[in-house]
Amino acid sequence: MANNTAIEQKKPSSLMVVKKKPEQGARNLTLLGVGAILIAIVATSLELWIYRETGDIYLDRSRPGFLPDAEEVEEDTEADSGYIYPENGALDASELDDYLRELKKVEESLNKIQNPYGSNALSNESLGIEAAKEQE
Amino acid sequence: MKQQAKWLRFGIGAAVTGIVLAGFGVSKAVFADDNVDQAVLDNISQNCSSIKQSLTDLQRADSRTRAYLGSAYESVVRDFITPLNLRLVKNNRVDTKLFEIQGDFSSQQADFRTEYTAYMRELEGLIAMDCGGHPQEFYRQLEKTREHRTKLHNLAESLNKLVSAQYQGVASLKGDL
Repeated sequence: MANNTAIEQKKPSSLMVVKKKPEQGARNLTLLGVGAILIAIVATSLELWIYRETGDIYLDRSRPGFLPDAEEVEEDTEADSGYIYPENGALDASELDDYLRELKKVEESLNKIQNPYGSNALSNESLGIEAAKEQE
Repeated sequence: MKQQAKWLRFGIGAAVTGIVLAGFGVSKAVFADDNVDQAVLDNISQNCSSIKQSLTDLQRADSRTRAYLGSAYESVVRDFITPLNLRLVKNNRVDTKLFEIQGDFSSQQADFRTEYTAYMRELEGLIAMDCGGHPQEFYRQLEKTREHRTKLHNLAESLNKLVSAQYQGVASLKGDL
């Protein structure tokens, strides 16, 4: 008798729990979705901030407008001789000849760019801010 | 207590007055340095769009130059300087000049990267400015960008000279063998 009473007393509370579950589940799912979106926004914003602050954005040539041109890729491929001086072995004069020859090629490729980051490109005349002064 | 409160109020008032006066002084100093020709400012306002186009083209060209120089410098360190110095060490041969070149080259290469980032940041800020409405601020930013560009130019020239010094050093080493 006492047990039946206990079971009957339990039933209403378990019924009440069953009633609450769908609402609570829907709310939790919504919270999960909103939370996931917020975390994604925060993480992406932080990542982009770091990308800009560290300066990697300026070294990255994969962004739109800065992709290398086709002829530029060909130039890079031709310029790379693939030479590496071996770090093991005795010092050999003929190997140093090869070293000097390859280093000369690199030096010449660097000298192809005359006056790198010269001041002329940002001068008033180049930008059209001021007319070039006529020489007397 | 009343005396302390009085001194506290006096101190706060003096600090605020000082800050305000300092702010006026700084702003006056900034404007006093801007002896920019009015004709230049007028040209900036009138030719704003073409100036911005030139700067955008320059930004792209500079990025290309950086990629080219950067890969060449990386190749010099990775394929020439470092393996040679390692080989010298393994053969118990000390060449102080070549080791110095390695140290200088690595540190200047890092400076080049840092300075390039700083320069590009300024250039981007310059391109984003409204030169039509604020030519004076634009010109100020242009001067700042020019300073960074000059530093970058000096670093590139210095690195190129180190490559030549490496060549001379190795030629001398070969002569000693």
